[in-house]
Amino acid sequence: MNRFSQKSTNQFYVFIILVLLSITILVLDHRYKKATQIRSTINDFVVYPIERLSNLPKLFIEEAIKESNDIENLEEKLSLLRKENLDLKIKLQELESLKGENIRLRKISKESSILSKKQTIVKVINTSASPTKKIILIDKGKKHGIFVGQNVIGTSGLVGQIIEANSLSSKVILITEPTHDTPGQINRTGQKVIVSGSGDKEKLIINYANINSDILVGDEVSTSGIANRFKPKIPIGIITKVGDNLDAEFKEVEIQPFEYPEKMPELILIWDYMPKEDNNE
Amino acid sequence: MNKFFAILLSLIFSVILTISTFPLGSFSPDWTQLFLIYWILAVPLSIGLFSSWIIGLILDVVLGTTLGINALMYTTISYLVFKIHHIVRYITIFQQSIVIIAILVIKITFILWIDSILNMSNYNFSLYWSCLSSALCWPLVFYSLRAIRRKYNISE
Repeated sequence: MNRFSQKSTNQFYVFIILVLLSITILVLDHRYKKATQIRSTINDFVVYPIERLSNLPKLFIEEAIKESNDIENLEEKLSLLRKENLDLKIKLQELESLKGENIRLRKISKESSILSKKQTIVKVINTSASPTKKIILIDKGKKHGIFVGQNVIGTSGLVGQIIEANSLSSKVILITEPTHDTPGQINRTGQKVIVSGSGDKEKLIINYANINSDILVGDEVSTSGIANRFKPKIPIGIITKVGDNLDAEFKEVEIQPFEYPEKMPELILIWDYMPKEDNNE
Repeated sequence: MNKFFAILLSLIFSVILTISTFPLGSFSPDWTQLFLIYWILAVPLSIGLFSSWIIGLILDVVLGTTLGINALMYTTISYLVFKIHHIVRYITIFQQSIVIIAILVIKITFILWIDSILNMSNYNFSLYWSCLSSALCWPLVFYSLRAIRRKYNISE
């Protein structure tokens, strides 16, 4: 099977060649970002099937749990959903009239009316797709038009953005990842803040809020649209704690996010916002 | 051919184990490395350096690291293990676990070193815990793979 390891000297040369090859790829990928094609090829042909395979036992268990749910429980759920649906329908009617009014007003103020709402619902395949980072795997990819940088939301707020798009699956980095920062603003005052992840899935933090700034517990935080990374006005979370240490240089602010993507089976991708490519890395 | 498929399937299984132990974070054992070390120890001519390199590249994609880090380390570790397999295959499991710790400490030191050179901060020092958990899992890997090897009669 292997002709590479027959002689010791031969093996040594192979070793040196492979080390040099690895370093070349390393430099190509890191410095010039040229290895994306290799990465997505390997992903499509090798890793994606394995990931799907590894997901099978979990699917079976979930299916079994679903099967064992008794009918009463389901009926109760059904009635609840019916009620919710009715409420939503009523709200939708109000919204329709508001939408018309909004378009009219926008026409008056000579602004373009961007109200098209193409959305894609995606399934989460793996809720932890990296050993060190908060990254999840979803079941749609380049084939469905998904692109790197696309905003990912849940039903009530921001979840994250796409960082890697392969042909049949993509990876989403969550806003709770400590190395990920989101440009945000406080809805009440309009103050711009940088929201960072803390690694804890129920906590986001604002590291650099001035000690004099007007931030109160209960304020809602949403995306500001600065840096063109995220669409403006997507809700992020609600402020749960504001540190009152007057000696510190910055206020300690903690935010509870609206979304817990680790628990959600489905996420939403939005299409009406294209992040502008910039090279600030 | 039988031998080839048994080894291939076991390696695919190790990747599945790696993916499903992601939630453990830095404590998750380095399954593929353990499987690879076992096959090199047991059947030295079964896995060459080039195959190790390919496996490393696949692991890079699975783990989402910069392409090449794991390829480099898997090649290096395979070469190292191949050089010392005459000694390691004849010592007890407990002693082998200690050798595994030593090998993985070398591997992780190199990974952290490359990581800091490239200034990526993909990893931190807690990654060293995986040496310990891998060494603890080594007897499990060893006995189960030996059972497979004996059942399918894989030898040189």
